[in-house]
Amino acid sequence: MSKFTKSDGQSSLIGGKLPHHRRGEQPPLKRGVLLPFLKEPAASRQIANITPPSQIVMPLLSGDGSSCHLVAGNYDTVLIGSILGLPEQKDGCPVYAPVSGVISSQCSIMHPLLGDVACAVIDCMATGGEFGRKKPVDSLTSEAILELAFKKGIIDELDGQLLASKLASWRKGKHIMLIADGTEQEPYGSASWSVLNESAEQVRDGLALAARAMGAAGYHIAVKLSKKRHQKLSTMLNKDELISVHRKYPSKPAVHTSGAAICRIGVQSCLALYRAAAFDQPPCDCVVTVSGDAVANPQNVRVPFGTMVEDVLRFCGLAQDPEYVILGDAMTGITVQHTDIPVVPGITCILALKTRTQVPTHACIGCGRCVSACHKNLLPFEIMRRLDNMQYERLAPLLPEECDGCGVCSHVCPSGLDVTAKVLEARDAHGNIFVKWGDGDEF
Amino acid sequence: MNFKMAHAPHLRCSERGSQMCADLLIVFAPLCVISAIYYGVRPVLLVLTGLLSAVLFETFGYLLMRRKPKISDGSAAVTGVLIGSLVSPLSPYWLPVAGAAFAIFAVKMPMGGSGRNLFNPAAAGLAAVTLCFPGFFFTYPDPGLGIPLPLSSRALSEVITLSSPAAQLASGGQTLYSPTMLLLGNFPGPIGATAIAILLACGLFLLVRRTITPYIIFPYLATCALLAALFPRVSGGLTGSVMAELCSGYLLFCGIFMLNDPVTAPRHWLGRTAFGVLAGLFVMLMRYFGRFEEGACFAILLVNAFATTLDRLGWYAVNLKRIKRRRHSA
Repeated sequence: MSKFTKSDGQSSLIGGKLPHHRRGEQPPLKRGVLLPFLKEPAASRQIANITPPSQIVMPLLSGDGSSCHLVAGNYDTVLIGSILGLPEQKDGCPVYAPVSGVISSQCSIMHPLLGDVACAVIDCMATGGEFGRKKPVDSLTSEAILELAFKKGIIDELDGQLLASKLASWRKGKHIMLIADGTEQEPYGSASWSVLNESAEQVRDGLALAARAMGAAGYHIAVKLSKKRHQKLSTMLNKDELISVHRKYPSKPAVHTSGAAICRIGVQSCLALYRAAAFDQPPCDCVVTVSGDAVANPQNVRVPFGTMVEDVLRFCGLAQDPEYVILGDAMTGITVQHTDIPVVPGITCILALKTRTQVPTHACIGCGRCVSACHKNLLPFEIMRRLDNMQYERLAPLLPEECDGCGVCSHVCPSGLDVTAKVLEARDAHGNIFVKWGDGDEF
Repeated sequence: MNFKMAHAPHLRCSERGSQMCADLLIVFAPLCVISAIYYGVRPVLLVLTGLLSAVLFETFGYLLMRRKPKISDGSAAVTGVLIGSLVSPLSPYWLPVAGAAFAIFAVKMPMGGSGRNLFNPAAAGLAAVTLCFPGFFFTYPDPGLGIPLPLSSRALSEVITLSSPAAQLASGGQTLYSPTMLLLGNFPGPIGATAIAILLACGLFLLVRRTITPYIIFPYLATCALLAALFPRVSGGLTGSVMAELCSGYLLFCGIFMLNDPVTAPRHWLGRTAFGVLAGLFVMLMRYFGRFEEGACFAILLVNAFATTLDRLGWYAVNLKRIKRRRHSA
């Protein structure tokens, strides 16, 4: 029996959670905030292909999180799309070479998203390697699609999880609507827009494959575009395939208008799935929005995995020395201390900022802005207060684990407090921060 | 090159706590102007005395606690102005100073300063001076004369005083003031709390600016109006009773400025609604059974004590299903 079969109920893969799909549980749409529109000029430009860097550093980490070992030795040549690393486990997914080149060495780096990870350093060659001819995708069964997504190690850029595991775990649910999330609600990112603009049909076909694989009731591409862009996109797709979301960030309704539960995957992973099915092409690159007030030429760039952030920033040019470099968008991105970090699946935006809104911090004045903005219906100020007062045992009833870290509570806080960081601290502790005094011999 | 590290989000909205206080201070300006038209410069001086003394006391309080004074957030200024606005135009200048001293030194600073006080400092300061010096409260000059009050406190004994609508309500009978007079503030009362039309406009401005929340003020006024309609104290029909109760004393003023103090009010919408209803109930009970003609500041102190509980209960009531399911799954 394949590990993706529907009958086993429990998938062997750890994947995305099944959303609650009861009516009346979706938060009111008026929650959230209106963010400034900072996508221009990157959004209106064509996707640029980065000039091949001289060297890339490819993390040897397969999509399911297991480490891999190199299949070739130092000074061996690898071709784009060929297997670079094989997982320790027998049935794991391999790592593919994102460029053609020569393996020069192996190293270990501390990646802010992946942690301590072994990497292969590849000296890039300008040419070499090509993908197969187009194959029909209509005959693929759902198991075959899942197997393909797993074997190619396609990672969903929305959350950095393996697409196959997410789809497999959703097979248990009934009446699910699959959404390719191209909404890009955060202020700067426009990578999904550009991908949709460039290859909308392929994204749609990839989404259809994913929907078939998980047995979804239907599929849509969710966008948040201006009227003009929406019209342009609707000429390439069927009108009913496109849905628009609310203007406020974050707009993540859990229930579709038809009553079906909504599951989301990224636009770029849809495209990767289609290319894997039609051209037998493993995902080798991703589209990244490079923007911020320190970037001279903000644009969307197609970057091979493993390219250093420094090379990406250099390609777009820096108008001034940035104070902050952020992996991810302005609401949820993380700052990094240096740019010697390879681009990995899941990074869709790189910001270089000269200035960041500096807020003088005061004590919480209890305005309740965070409560009324929280789309998860939590009490962020209270979670923060209990954490500050070390009332750890009283955190659990406030459900901090439901926080998705959208950053809205910190954004609206008039006292300039890092509310999101505190709530995430409470969430990630899973109730384990409570120190049991007196049960050791140290006193 | 080493870049700076910071927590997400990297984009903050421009709204600041000090702006909320600035909004409140802005809306006091027209109230002072109206008062100055009726009574001359004296009420403005009383308000300014309250403001300056509260800011000075807070600075002193922070210095005593060996902390850097944070008066720029404007909360002390608002406390001072609120106390100054709710005394009678005939009050001596030291009265708002005494109120501000109690508000800052007894209520605000011992709790840890701005943002940490459990009770509204202005309501507490006002309650303290009402209890200690009841003689200076509830004697109001006649605004209809149009004669500026003397600046010196010694010359005040010759000013003609009148009973306010709140006192008339307390004694029962027929109210003497027409709705137009009530709306224009042409009746005896505290400095800033009489011009009802201006107060309503201020409330609307603050609602639009999101400095105050509709979840508190509307349930509060609705409860007061309902109780006034059900248990009228004056003849003049349903409308007359509701109008007289809502416009007299400083019921509306407290509803707009003191109940909506973010520090001492609940944050969740259901808690806020319950808070408003409870405040309305307490204010009317104070009026019906209280010692003084107006007891809104006492009612606010009372309801402040319930704020945290109402907040939690409101949130738990809305999220009961979610919490149960989570416990069940755990």
